[in-house]
Amino acid sequence: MTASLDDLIRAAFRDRTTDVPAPVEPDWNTAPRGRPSRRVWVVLPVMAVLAIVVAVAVVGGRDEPQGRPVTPVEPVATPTLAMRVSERKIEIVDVASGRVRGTVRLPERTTLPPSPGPASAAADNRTFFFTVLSASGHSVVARIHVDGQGRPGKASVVVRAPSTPDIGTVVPGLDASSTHQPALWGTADAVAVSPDATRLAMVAGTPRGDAIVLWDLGTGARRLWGTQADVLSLTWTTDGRRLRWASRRSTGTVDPGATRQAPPVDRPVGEGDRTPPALLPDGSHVAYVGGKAVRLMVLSPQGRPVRELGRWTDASGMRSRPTVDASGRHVLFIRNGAWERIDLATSQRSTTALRLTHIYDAHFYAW
Amino acid sequence: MQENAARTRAADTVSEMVSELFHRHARMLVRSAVLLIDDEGAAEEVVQEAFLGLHRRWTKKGPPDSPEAYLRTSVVNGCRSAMRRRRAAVRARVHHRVPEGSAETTAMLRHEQAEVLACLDRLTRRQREVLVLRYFLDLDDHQIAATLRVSRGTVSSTISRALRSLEALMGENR
Repeated sequence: MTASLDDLIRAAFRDRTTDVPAPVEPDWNTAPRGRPSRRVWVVLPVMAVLAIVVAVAVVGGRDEPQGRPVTPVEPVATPTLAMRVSERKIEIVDVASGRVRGTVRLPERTTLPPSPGPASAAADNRTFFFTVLSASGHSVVARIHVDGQGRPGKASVVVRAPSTPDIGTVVPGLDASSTHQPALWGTADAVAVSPDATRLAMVAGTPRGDAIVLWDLGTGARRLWGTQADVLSLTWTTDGRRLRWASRRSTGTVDPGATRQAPPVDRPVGEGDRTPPALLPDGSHVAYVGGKAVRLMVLSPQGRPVRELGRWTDASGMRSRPTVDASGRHVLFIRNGAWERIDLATSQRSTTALRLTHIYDAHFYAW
Repeated sequence: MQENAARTRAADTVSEMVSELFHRHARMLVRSAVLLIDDEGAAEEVVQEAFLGLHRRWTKKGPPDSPEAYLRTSVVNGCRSAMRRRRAAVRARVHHRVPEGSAETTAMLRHEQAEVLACLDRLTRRQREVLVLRYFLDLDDHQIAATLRVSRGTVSSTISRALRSLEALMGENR
């Protein structure tokens, strides 16, 4: 190839469209105003009232689940189930056999995002959280429980991403009233459920910075912390007291019990940063390093190699971000187009029946 | 009477502001739309419709938080609708063309560009969108995420996947 792929794409795009003329400007004064017909004027208020009633019942009520007790879950020693989130559906699958145990029915009046949204599994391997869009297009998080056979129960919305003005109270430099912020609601960039599944954390992103949001699922109480970093990953410490986060260039900790937070630690962008960091509870992360000769590594918060978990020749060229389970002990990763698992405590690796069937196959797992 | 005059003045102001945005951004948006749907006529319609939509919205509810972001999202959505209509009408793959060049020194580059555009057709819709937004409009992950209404993690993983797919497809052709 005579040019780098990036340059080639830019040049191809530029040259393909260089002769495209400017469009004719519409006549703004005679343009159709889109005024609804008389009949629509009658129907609209009725629909609006209905929408408000439904919204209060479905979103408002679930978003503030005050007074709803949430029972702490019991962790399992080894996760066996995973939630597979794809563009078309969400399924519960058996990791070892690859068998689909059930397809998740989305909460009413919600849809899947155009690309798979973040998800998180609790340590009991029976409680899962996933992201969907509400009827108004806001990121909301729903929860399901699965039975002993892995069959999913009814999903319900538990929280929704905070609004930009709320995020603006904690993100330095985010002026929520400016025209730089296109959306009135943050997008859910990552979610992480606490080890006992009583609290849920979310990275709510805006173009100017992110908020790390923490909900008590029993009371609905919410707290926000802001950062100007592009937070891509979030996880809990093993004791459930603190949150670890990582962007491409920095990593940090949020301690909900502390009044002042420790400043984030910068780290250089390394080879293991082609996919968002797969954080472990101690702040280190698992990443693929290398091209065809690939190594699966544990890297320190500063990006230094800590431990090699495996090395192989990557014939498939297909990779997906490693997935750490709720305990932080087991990791799913791609090796030559197939998902394998590794127990970080014993370094024991085992194959699974989960396959990355196609290079276009956009899905990931939460377990 | 005074109320009517005030309303007319407000409408004129909106038209002026949308017109200014049109002159600043319309051509780039049409070029982006061409890369998404490879049909100049349809691309122009999509962009005009996006501006008319912005004008309607501005008149009724005031300006969106970011008119530029609003337009980008409208154009991407308009292109998706156009593609759906086209797919329903003709089940045919879109082929890209590259303007012909006479200089021999650029022949190889032209060939590679043609290959990139042909391979672009074989990517998923979302992969194609993120590449156009990143490499033509030079948007960062935040702006792409806001345009497509997805998370930034999704943007970065989709770009990474799209580049790998593109490399693999170009390798297949050799």
